[in-house]
Amino acid sequence: MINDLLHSFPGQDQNEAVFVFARPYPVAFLGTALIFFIVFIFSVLGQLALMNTNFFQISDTNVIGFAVLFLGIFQLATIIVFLVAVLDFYYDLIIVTDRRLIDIDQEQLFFRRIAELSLEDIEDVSSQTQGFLQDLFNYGTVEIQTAGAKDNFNIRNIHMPREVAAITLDLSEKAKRGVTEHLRLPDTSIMGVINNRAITSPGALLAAGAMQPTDMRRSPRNAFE
Amino acid sequence: MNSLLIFYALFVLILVGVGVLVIYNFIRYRFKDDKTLLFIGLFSLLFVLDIILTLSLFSAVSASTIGL
Repeated sequence: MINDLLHSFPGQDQNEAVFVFARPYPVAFLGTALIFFIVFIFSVLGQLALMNTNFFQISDTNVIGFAVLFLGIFQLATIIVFLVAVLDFYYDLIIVTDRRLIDIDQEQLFFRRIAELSLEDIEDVSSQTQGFLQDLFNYGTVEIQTAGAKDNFNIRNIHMPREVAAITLDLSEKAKRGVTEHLRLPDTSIMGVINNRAITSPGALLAAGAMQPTDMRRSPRNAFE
Repeated sequence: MNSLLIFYALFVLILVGVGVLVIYNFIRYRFKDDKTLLFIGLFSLLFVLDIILTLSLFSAVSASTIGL
């Protein structure tokens, strides 16, 4: 079965609305992509240079053939390593629902860590943008301090970090005040961030598939009935 | 020259196997409407184009050997 927002992690309840579903912002991957691109292009240029006998002064065609194939294998291995790097980056996720926060870290090829935190256990939430690119493209780090001895959550390269922090904090405060789970709705102007897009109304959350069609919060009037 | 090609084909097969393993590992966690299939499609295309480029360069080298 392919996951969707309402089946986005193991143990998600049936009526659990999702307010934040964010992957790392692609701009944060540009540095890594540039390194792979340079390595790949230099390897292809090396192959082409081998064809020009004046460039390397090699006349033995067996040696040239071997070098061409060796660089070809190197390029294919580079493509696979790059694919792993892309998917490693892309599969990191932060999900904030009306009752918990889930941090999914794809750390290596076969290592996937899923950390979960109840909204009641959130002590403080802060956001941080650092450097020219983060400031320009509005992405950065969201730091979530937890109550007790639990580890803090540092979620890096998230688009709209201030909004994500505000939504998480607002939902956490509602949870601590004892607001029922299915009535929790952020009071912030942006009430959701789904796939790096700002959501400003419960209707848009519903349209994004982050809320059940029967959810009472789908229109503001229903939420307070 | 032929033995070089056989070694190349062997390595390509191993890398295809690794690629399939990578794709299988990640595709389990894909989401509806996410970009996983786009990435896999683009990288597969690049993989095939790279093999075609390498083999065409190699055949040019082989042709020059025959010429000698």
